[in-house]
Amino acid sequence: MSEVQDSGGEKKKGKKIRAKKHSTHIDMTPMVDLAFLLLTFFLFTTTLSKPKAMPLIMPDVNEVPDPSKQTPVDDEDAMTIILSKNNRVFYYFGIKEPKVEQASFDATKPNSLRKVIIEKKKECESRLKVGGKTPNERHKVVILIKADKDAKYKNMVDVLDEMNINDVPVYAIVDITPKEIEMISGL
Amino acid sequence: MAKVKPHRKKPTLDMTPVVDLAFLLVTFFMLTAKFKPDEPLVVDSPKATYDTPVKTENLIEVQVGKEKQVFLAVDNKNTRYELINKISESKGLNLTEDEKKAYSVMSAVGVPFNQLKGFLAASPEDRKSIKQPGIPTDSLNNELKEWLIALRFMSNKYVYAIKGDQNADYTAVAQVITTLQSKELKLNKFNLITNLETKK
Repeated sequence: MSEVQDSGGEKKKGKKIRAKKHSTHIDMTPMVDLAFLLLTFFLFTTTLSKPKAMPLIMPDVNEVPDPSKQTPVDDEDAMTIILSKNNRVFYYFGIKEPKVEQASFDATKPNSLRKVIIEKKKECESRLKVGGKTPNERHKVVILIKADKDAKYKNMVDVLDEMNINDVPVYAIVDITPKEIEMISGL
Repeated sequence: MAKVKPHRKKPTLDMTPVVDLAFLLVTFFMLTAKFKPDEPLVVDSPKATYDTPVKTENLIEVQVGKEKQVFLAVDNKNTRYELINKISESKGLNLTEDEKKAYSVMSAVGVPFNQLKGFLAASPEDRKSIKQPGIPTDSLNNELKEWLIALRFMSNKYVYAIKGDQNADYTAVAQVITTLQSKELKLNKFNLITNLETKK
């Protein structure tokens, strides 16, 4: 079987060599032109920015929290961020004697929100809990995020993003209180 | 002394590899390109540093536009058909088969129940020119909740996400969040859709 095929192949080969005398040359320029035209079209029309997801877990509002399971937050650990109109952002520490100050979303500014959060985080982590010895028993900052009726969605996402960037362990979106609206109204 | 003969051969460049590469790229872009679905609501998502891609499979997207209008985008054509069937039944809209099919091919819809039949009965061209007012979300007339309850009854596999415009008021988004967290829905875990921003 293989022998027959071999001999046949040789015959064909011999014939082909004689038949092929001059090379065929195709001008490929138009094809390249077309290919590049299509290439540029698809390059320009594809959007590279794919949407991303920011996971958000909200506390269950329907469940009445069990007071025995709740961990009380120290006054020194709490920080509140308030969002208002015209991209303004305010913050204050603690709960008892709030002193509202304005921050900026611009990370390069001296009063940037990022700097404030980092400093507060460091300050909290420098204090050991009562009776605590290991680094795990250090204080951790707890951030409350509140938005007034003029705040933009963008600001909320920016603040949540700031939580991600600075690795804030505990944060929550809470409704603003009338007292807080009053506090920022004069600023 | 031998004369230096000028090279007479035409300078030819073998363009085969160039063509190969060009066509490879063309094929790549053609196969990966996904034509943007015709979105009735233009949403400019805010930027954030999160880089988890959105899984579009079984995604239920509540879109919040610049003017606080709320649209509902349900992932799958079959899901949409099932959903409109349920809504038509529970709200007594008496939608025809064609109207239900019309809903199932639309990516996002933001029309209150009382306008839904008229909107779906219109031809696809007319529908584009109709300005959709958005789904009501206020506490007195929360139609978004009814849409979502219908979806919740259909299956548990859905992933919920909010796609808000960066210039939308937060209160509009907060209303959607309150709806998601209501005692009928109890959706406390969801995603916010953002665009990737390079870390500053």
